[in-house]
Amino acid sequence: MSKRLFASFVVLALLLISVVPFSAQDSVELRMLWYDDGTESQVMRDLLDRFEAENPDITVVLDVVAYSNILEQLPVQLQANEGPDLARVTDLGGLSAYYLDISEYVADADYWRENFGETLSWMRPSTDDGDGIYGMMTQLTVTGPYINATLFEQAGVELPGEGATWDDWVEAAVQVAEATETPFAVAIDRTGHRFAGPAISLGAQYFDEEGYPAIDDEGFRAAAEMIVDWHTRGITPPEVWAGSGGTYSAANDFFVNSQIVLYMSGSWQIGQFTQRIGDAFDWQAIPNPCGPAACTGIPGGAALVGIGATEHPEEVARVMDFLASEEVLAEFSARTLFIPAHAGLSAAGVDFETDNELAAAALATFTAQVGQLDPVAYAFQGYRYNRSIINSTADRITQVIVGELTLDEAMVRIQEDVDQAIAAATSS
Amino acid sequence: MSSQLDFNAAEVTPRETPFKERVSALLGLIFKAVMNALDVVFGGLQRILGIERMGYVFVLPNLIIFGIFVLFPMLLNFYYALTGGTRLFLSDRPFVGTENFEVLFNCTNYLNPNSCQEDFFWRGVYNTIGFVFFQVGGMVILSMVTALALNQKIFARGFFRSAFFYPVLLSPVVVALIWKWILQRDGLLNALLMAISGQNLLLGIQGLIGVIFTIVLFTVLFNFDAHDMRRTWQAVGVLALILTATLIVIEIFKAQILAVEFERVVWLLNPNSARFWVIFVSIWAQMGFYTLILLAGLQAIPPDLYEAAQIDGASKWNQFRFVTIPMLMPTMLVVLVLSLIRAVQVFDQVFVLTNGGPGSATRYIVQYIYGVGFSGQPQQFGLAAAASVILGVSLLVLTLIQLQLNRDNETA
Repeated sequence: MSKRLFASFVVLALLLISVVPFSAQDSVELRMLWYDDGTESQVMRDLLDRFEAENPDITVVLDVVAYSNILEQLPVQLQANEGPDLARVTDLGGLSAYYLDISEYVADADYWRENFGETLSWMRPSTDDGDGIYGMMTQLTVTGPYINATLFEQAGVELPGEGATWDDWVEAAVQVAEATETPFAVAIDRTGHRFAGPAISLGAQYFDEEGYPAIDDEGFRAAAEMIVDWHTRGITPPEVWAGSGGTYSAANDFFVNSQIVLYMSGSWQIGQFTQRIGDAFDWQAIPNPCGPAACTGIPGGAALVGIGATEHPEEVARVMDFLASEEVLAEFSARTLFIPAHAGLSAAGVDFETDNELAAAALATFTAQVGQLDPVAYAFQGYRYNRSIINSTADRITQVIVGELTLDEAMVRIQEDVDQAIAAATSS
Repeated sequence: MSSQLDFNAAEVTPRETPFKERVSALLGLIFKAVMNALDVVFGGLQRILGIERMGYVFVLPNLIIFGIFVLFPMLLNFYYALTGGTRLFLSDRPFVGTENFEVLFNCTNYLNPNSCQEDFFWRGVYNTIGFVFFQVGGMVILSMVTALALNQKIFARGFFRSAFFYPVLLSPVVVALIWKWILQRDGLLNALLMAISGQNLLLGIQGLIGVIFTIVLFTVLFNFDAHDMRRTWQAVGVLALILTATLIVIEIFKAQILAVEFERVVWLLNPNSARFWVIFVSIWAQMGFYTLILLAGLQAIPPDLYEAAQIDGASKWNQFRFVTIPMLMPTMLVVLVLSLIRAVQVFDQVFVLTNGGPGSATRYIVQYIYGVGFSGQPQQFGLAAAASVILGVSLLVLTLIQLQLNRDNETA
């Protein structure tokens, strides 16, 4: 009896082994590398489930990883031709050499160019490639500040009006912090990306006439001095810039815990604030404060791109076509509270799925900012090696804050770091 | 007749071999077959190579693994150090000779990192030297003291040995996270300090004195000498006097104690404080391992030597100086070199605890390599590989010194 049972198991196992490979051959498996700002991977999974139901020959595995993996590990994977089939990236220009041009695979390339036209160039490997379609922005982001409106109300401090400068907002935040015994008045994420908005507003140009990075100017220095001054006065949490050694650091936890009055970050925080702050206090996105040159933030966002090394370019294009369709992208934007980079959707408007008036107001504020961004801000976002400027700015200004460098030394260092990075990137 | 037949049947029926024995016998057969097969192979090899060369055959598997996973990557790394650009594959990378090394060593004053082209590399070097000096020094001394204490016949010795070794079992990341939660702005240490301010501090001091007094009193009473009650009463009297004096002192300084208020200290945001805590946590996490090695060394010292020293009238200090220290020297050397090599490689724990901050105060050389090669954009593998070669050479020098010292020790 036991022998029969054993024989049955063997036969069954052999059957399974022989059947599984053949059935697997029917479906193409694609891997999509993804990171979360909030909980958008859940929305993406829902959409992919729908895609798979409509396209049973394609399976998409969503690999959700930490953002640092996208920055540090994906580039190595791509160089080794071991990357995923699709990926959500933010270093749009830096990784552009590895993207798949899907223009010949998508159902209607004109639809893509009409609706994503402005942002398609951010993903192109070179300026000569005027027609290539390498991906789509999953969201358009704009950097800008938030305030804790409840604290302003409790302190009885008036919100600075239209055209208020950075100084106006910071001094108002200081008054609020003092009146409400809030530990800190102001904070800005530790990255040269967030820093660039105030810097351009204060007059930073970032590039010379030939379009090559030229960091040292009065605007950049003024912004750096402003951040250093916040630390000297003790009005910003030192953990964010001074306490972090070499990598990105966000101050969102301080804002969510009501430990700061004004927080300079960006539109991608809206979904997270809606969930984490709830009705603990009223928060508000405010227009970017002004400087002598502009009142600007930095445009940007994350893009979903096909990877050139994929063995299934047609299937990748089918997934991209599905996700880029107006109906699907509208749902993605509505559920994640992300500003879409799709012209049709922007014109029609997105019915964001939130009954939170604060979130709706913040979305309206950031959407209104898109049209008011300074041309230098667009140039900064579109520059292929902007990551080298972003990283070095954070590192070197931190050194000024903790006293390792003077501002003059830091300016020289940033330029040298950027020069060295560009030389390394262009030498091979 | 039938009973006779039954009896015979019972006699001749063989006892069924238990399953375990059958498996054991089967395994034995398999083992024997394998050994016989190996014997044929190695016997043949021995006939061909000769018995002197058979040693190489036995180390070959390990040598192959070492070659693939250690030697080959080292050679590869060395070649990467001679190439430039940001591409991954060697075939895509231009040969630049010693350019990466020149970049690293391009300084007008080696003692001032700000005068160097790669200032973060030199900051990493100096930070690492400082870390190695204080961490290894502190570790060896504390491990030694702990090992000496744990070698005594003290109460709950087994428990203390386990307790000191326990942090060694924790992953460096776990250790760093635990201490981060303790040391951060709203961490445990600040909470504790703030909780013991003012009235609580006074109560704490009074409670502590009460506990100490009670323990001492009980010790005196339990050790009283029935034939000399006078001495016991004298001891109790002295204790009562000390207690009264202490309480008077506390009463005098009551106002000052009540005024004590601790403010939140962000321990990891001041460069010197961050450096101290990084070293402290590292010692805390690794000390148990070295304590264990030293403890084994202490227990290997023959007791006869101490007996002989005692007979010669040597004091405890002299026994320690002239017996323990010389006999423990070889073990100390192992501890010193192992901890030195490990300290030079410091990365994971500090990366989680301070991320190299504040600024670059705790950014060590391995973090520099990681930053340039992996977390920076663009990733400069050549520069990172060159820094790795320099680090590797430093470790090689340390190891050679260890070998030389060992040799000297053996010769002596």
